[in-house]
Amino acid sequence: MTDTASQLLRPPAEVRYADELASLAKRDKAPRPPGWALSLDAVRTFVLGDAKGKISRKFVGDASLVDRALVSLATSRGLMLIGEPGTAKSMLSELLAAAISGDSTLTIQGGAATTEDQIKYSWNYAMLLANGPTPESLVPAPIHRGMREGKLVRFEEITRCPLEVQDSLLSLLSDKVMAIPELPGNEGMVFARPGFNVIATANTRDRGVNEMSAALKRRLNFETVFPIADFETELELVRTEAERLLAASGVPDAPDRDLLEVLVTTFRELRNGQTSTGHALEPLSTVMSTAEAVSVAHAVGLRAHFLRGGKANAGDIVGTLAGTAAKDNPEDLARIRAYLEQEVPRKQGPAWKAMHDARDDLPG
Amino acid sequence: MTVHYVGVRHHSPACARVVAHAIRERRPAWVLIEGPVDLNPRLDELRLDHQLPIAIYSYLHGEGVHHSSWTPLCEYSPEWQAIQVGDEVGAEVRFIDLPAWHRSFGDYSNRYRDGADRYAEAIAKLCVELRVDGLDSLWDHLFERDEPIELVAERLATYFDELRDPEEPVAGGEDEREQYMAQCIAAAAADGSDVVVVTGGFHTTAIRELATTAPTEWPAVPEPDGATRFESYLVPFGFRRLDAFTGYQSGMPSPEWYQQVWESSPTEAPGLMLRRVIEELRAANVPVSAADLIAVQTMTDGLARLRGHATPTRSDLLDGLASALLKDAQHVPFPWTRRGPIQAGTDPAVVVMAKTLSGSRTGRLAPDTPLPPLVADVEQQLAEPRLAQAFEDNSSVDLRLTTEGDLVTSRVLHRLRVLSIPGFARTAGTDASRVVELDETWILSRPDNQLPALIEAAAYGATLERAAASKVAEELHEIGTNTAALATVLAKAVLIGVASLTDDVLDAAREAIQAATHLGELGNLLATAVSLHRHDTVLETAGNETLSGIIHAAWTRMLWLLEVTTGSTDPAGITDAIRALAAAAQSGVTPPLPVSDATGTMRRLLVRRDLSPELHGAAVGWLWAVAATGISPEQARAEAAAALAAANRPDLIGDWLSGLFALARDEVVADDLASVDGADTSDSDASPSILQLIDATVASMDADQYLVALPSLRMAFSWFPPTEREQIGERILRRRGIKTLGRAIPRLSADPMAVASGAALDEHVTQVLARFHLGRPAGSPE
Repeated sequence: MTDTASQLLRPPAEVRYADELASLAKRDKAPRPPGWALSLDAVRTFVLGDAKGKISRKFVGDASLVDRALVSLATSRGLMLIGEPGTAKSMLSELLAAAISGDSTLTIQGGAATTEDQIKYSWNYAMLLANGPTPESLVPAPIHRGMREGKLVRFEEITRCPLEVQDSLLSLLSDKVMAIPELPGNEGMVFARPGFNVIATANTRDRGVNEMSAALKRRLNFETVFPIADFETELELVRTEAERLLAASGVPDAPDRDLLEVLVTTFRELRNGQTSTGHALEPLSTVMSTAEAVSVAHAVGLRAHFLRGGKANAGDIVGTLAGTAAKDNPEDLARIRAYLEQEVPRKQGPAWKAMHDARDDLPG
Repeated sequence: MTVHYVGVRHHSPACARVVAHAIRERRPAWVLIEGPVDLNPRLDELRLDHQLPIAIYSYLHGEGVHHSSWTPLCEYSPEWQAIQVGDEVGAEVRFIDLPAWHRSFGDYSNRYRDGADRYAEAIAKLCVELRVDGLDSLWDHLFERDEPIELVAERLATYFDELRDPEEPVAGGEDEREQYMAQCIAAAAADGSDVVVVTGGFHTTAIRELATTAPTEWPAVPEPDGATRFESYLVPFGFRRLDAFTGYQSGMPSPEWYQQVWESSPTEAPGLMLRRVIEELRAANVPVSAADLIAVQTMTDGLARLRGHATPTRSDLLDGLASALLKDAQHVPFPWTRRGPIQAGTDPAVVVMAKTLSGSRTGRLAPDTPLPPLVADVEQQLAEPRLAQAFEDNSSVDLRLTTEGDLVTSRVLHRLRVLSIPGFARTAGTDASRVVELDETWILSRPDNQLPALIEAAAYGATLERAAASKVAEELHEIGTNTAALATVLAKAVLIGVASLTDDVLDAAREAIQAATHLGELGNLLATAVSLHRHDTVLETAGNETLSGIIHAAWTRMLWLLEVTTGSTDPAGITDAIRALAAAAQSGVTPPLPVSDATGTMRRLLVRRDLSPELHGAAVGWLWAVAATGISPEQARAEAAAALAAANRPDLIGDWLSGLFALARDEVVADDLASVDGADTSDSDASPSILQLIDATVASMDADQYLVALPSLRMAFSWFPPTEREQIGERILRRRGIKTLGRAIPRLSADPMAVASGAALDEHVTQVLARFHLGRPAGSPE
C-alpha cells in the first residue's frame, strides 16, 4: 500500500491490492480478452486467492460463481449480481472491475433520484452557454468514460432506479454505441472500445428484479450471490474483517474467538430461522448478513475499548444487537429477546453464559 | 505373480474405461470385484441378456428386522465392465465383498455409494486448491475428460493414495470388509496367477497392505443366522432411482450424462445433452431463443476453456445453461454445486436441467431371469380374464364387495396396494373412515416400475397374502405413538382380508395403543374397531377376535388416559372418545368389557373441578345412558337434573349440554316424552323433564346472558337431528299453550338491525326503570 493510500478512509480495491495486481500481471502468460488488464485465469486467482502465489482470498463464495461471472463479462452480455443485502455483491463487483480494468471507480450509485445525466453525460452549463455544445463543455458520466476508455462500469443497486432510467442502458449494451445528438458530426457518436461492459448489482430485499424490463434482463447474465454456507469460513471472514476495521479505528485488541463464535452463531441462527441443533426459530425480518456481523463485531470492539477501556465481552454484543440487528422493528426486538431468553441458555460455554447473563442489557 | 489393483469410483465411466483397459492389457487369470460374495454361484444370472441399469437387490427379513439394499449396475459401471471384459479374456470372475446382510454395512442401502464423506476434509482442501465447487465437479475436472487412458489411470491411483491417510482408523465395519477382500485376493494370488482387483478407491491402499499378510485360503462365505430370511434377486433399476440416493448414500450424479459419455465420448456428450436439455426446456414452455442458445454455447465453451477442459464437463454445461438462461434471483444454490437432493425453492428451469442430465432410462431383465416366488403368485392371482382385459386397455374394474368373487379380487388388489406396488389405483371405495363402501373402482396398469416393486416386495413373504400381512404388521410396528395412523393401518388390514390378521398384528396394535397419548385419536380407533366388529358382515370382520382384542386394549388405555386427562386441550375430542367408549360398552364384545370400571372413572371425573363442563356433561350422560349396575333410570335422571342445576350458568350450560346430549340423546328425548304423557294424565307430581328445566333456565336469562349462552346452546342442540329438534320445539310451545307447529312461527320480515336496536332500546329503558325502582327488575319472573 502506498503512503497516499494509507491516508484514505477506504482506498479502492486497485489501490489496496496494487501489489498483488502487479505481481499477477507480471506472471500472467495466458491470453487476455481484448481490453482486459489480466487474463481470466489471473482475475480468478486474484478473487479466489492462491496461497502459493501469495495472493489473498478475497471472496469466499462458490468458485463456479466467479467462473461464470468472468465468462459472462468476456462475452457481450453484461453481468447482474443479485442477492440478499450484505452478501458481498458490491465487493465482488469492485474486485472484478479492479482486476479487469484496473479501475473500480466508474460507479453509478442507483437510487430513486438517479437520472440519465448521471449515467451517460451532462453539461457544464457555463461553458455550454458561452461556447454552445462542444466536447469541452460535456461532462462525461461513468458510462461515457467506460465506453471511451474500454473499462468496466459498475452500476450499484440498479433496481432502485426508475424503470425508464434502467432502460437507457438497452442500446448501450446491445449496440455498444452512445449517441450525443447535441454534438455535430463524428463527435456525436461514442463507440465503445473493447473492455467495456457493465456489472450491475441488485438486492432481493427492497425491489428485486421483477419490474425490470425483459429487454434489459436479456442483455444481462444473472448470478445469485448466497450468504456464506460454511460456519468456519464465515467466522474467519468476520474475524479478519473486524480486526482490520478495529485496527483502522485505533483499537489494538480484537474480540476473542469465543466471542466472535457466539456472534456469528447468533447471526446465522437468526438468519436461517433454525438453530444448529435443528430447533425452529422465527427468522428476523431484517437482514442478518455477514456484513452486519462484521459491523457488530466492529462496534463491540469500539464500545469496549473507548467506552469501558477493556476487552469486549458478551454484554457488548447484547447492547449492540438492538441497534444493528433489530433496527427500529419492535417485532425483531421481541424475537431477539426470545432468542436470548430461550435459546442462549441451552448453549454450552462461558461466552454463551455471559451473553445470557447480560440479556437485560437489551434496550427497549 | 502380479496383483494389479484398480481403485475406482463406482459408476464412473472413466474408471470403467481404466478397468477394461487394464484387464485387456494384462489378460489375468482372476478378476476380483467388490460385490456380494454369496452371489458367485449365480454370476451367470448377471450374464443373461439384460438391458441395464439393473441392480442386485438383497434383503434380510425376520423377527423385527427388515433391511434391504441394492447393488446398482449400469453399463458404465466399472464393476459391470470388469465382468464383461473378464469374460471376454477368459478370466475367472468373482465377487469378493461380504454379503449385503452383513453387519458391516450398517444401515446403508446402496452398496455402491461414494464413501467419500470420511475424506470430506481432504477433498474440500483439494477443491479450494483447484477452485471447483465440490466432489462432483472435482471428479469431472480430474478424470472424466478426453485424455489418454494411461494418464487417467495414473492420476486415479495417485488421487486415492493421497486421500486416504493410512494412519487414520477406518469407520465402523469397513475394516471387516477390507480384511475379507484382502484374504480373497491373497487366496487367488497364492498359486502365482495374475490377478486384477476392482474395488472402491478408498479401500485400495488398505487392501493392498492387508493382502500381503492375509491367509492364502479362500475365506468361508458367511451365513446369516437361521431365524432370518435372506435372499438376493436381480431387479430392473432406473436412472431416476440411481440419482435418488442422497446424503451419505449418494454416488455419481446425473446418470444419463455419464451414459452419454460412455456411449459416445466425452467430446460428443455435451452437444447431445445440450440439445436434449433445450428440447426439454422448450417442452416445459421455457422460452429459449436462438440468441439464448448462442449465449449458452459461448458460456459453456468459455467456462470449459477457463477451467482448462478440452471439452465441456458436466458442470461446465450446467453452469453455462444457468448463466445464460436464468433471469431471476435464485432462492437456493444450484443443485450441482452441492451434494444431496434438489432443494425446495429451486428454479423450475434448473430442475428441468438437472432432471434431463439425470435421465429416466429404466432397465429390463432378460426373460428367463429367476424371479422370487411372490411374482409368480401375483401373476396367478391376477390371471382372471376380467383383470387381464383391464390391464390390456387400462380400463377400470368395478367390484361389488357383496359378491363373493369380487370380494376375493378386491382383497388381492388391496394386498398389492398395501405393498405399494404401482399400477393398482383405486378411485372409489372405503377409506380409513368408518364407512364401509360396498362398491370399489380400480384402474389397472402395468408401469415399468411394477416388476421391480414386486421383486422388492418379495422381502415380505413368498405369497401375496403373507407378504401383505407382514407389511401391515411392520407398519404397525413403526407407528409408535401415532394413533391416527393406527386407525388407517387397521382399515388397511381389514381390507386385505381379516383372515390375514394374525397374532403379531394384534401384538403390534396393542403395543401402539399402549404408547398412545391422544384420547381423541384413540377414540376414533375404538369407534372404527367397534363398528367393524359389530356390523361388518361384508368384510367378515363381525365378531372377529383380533378386533375384540384391539377393542379391549383401547378401552383399558382410554380409561387410564381419562383418569389423568386435564381436559383443557380438546374437550370435544375427549367427548367423542367417551362416546366411542359408550358404543363399545354396548357392542356386546366377547369377553364383555368391564363397564363398571368405566362408570367409576366417570364418577371421579364428575367431582373434578378442573375439567370443562362438556366433560362433566358427558360423564353425567354416561351414568344415565350406559351405567349398567347399581343405578335405576329414574335415579340417573334425577342425578342428571341435580347436575344440571349445578351447571346452570349462561357461560357453562351450553357446553355441559353438549356433553350430555353426546352420550344420552335418546334418554333425554324419552324423558321429555314421558313427562308430556304425564302432563296429559294430569299427574301434577311428575317432576319436570330435563328439557323443561333447560327451558326454564333459558327463559330466566336476560338479554345479555342469553347472548352469551346462545352459541354453545345451538352447538349442543345440533346433536339432535332436525326432526327431533322440531318435535322438541313443538312440545315446548305446547306447554306454553301455543298449539301451532314450530315451523309455522313466522319469520320476522323486519330488518334484523332495526330489531336489534329496538331490543337494545327496550333493554336500556328497562335498566333505567330498574335503577329508579320504577319497574320490574331485569330477569325477575313476570
